[in-house]
Amino acid sequence: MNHRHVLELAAGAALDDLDPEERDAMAAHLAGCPACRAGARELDEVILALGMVSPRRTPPPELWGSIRAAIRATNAGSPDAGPASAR
Amino acid sequence: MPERTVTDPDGGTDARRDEEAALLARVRDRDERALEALYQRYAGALYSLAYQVTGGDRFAQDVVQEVFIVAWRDAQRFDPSRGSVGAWLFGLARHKAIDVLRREATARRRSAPEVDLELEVAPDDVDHDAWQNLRRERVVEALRSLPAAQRESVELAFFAGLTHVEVAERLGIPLGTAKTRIRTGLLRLRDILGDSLSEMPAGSRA
Repeated sequence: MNHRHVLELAAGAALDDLDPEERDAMAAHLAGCPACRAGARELDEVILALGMVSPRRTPPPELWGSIRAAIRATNAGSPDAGPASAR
Repeated sequence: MPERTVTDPDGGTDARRDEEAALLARVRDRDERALEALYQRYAGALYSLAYQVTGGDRFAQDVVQEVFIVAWRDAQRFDPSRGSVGAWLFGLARHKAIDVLRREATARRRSAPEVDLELEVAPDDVDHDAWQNLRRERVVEALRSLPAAQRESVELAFFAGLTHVEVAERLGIPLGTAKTRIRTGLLRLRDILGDSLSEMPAGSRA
């Protein structure tokens, strides 16, 4: 598989648009190709950059509290939550 | 243009990536404060994106809440070799926003969303800073410089919360063409943004 094709797959992966075969082919190539790994990483940063351009708004301050309550409820309700109960 | 003397508060891409991967490892070990640290860092941007995609505060809150619940519950699903924590969170947000839109669409048929990336300041913009604005400006400029067909496809996929199939339908093009446009557009953004993705803005080194 050529490098350009791998980068196209990496771009697909960045928006979660790969079928399992494509994903495997990409992973196999990336494992042995530092240059494409670097390229895939930059694509990841592109996604992050796109994530920053929406007009900036501030979530209501109580949002974190409600998330915290939800994850604590998850912990309490899950018998295999493991170390969660230790905290 | 004001003098570009801002610095990257993240301390560089690699440091940020490592730090966030370490935070997520702590989340996996059920450290609530680590999740809160990721929340502090990303909630604003995730909420802003979700607000833009879904068009409402309530929906955007739902999206952000679901993202952090998944991060808490499924932190082990994050694979550091595949990408950064930040990009993972944005990926989750995009999925959740698409879910929200789909739920809504069953109630009422949506009209075509307008993707508006004008650099206007949102009414409750309280935490913008020079670095963020500069970075945004660059990314918006890069988007604008894409060929129209690529730009449209990328924007629909990322900011309008459309699946690739929906992008193809909306534009009346085959799915394969839509995928190619989106992938090529992202690769082109990578080329345009280049070093600025991993480095401080040029002016900060002056």
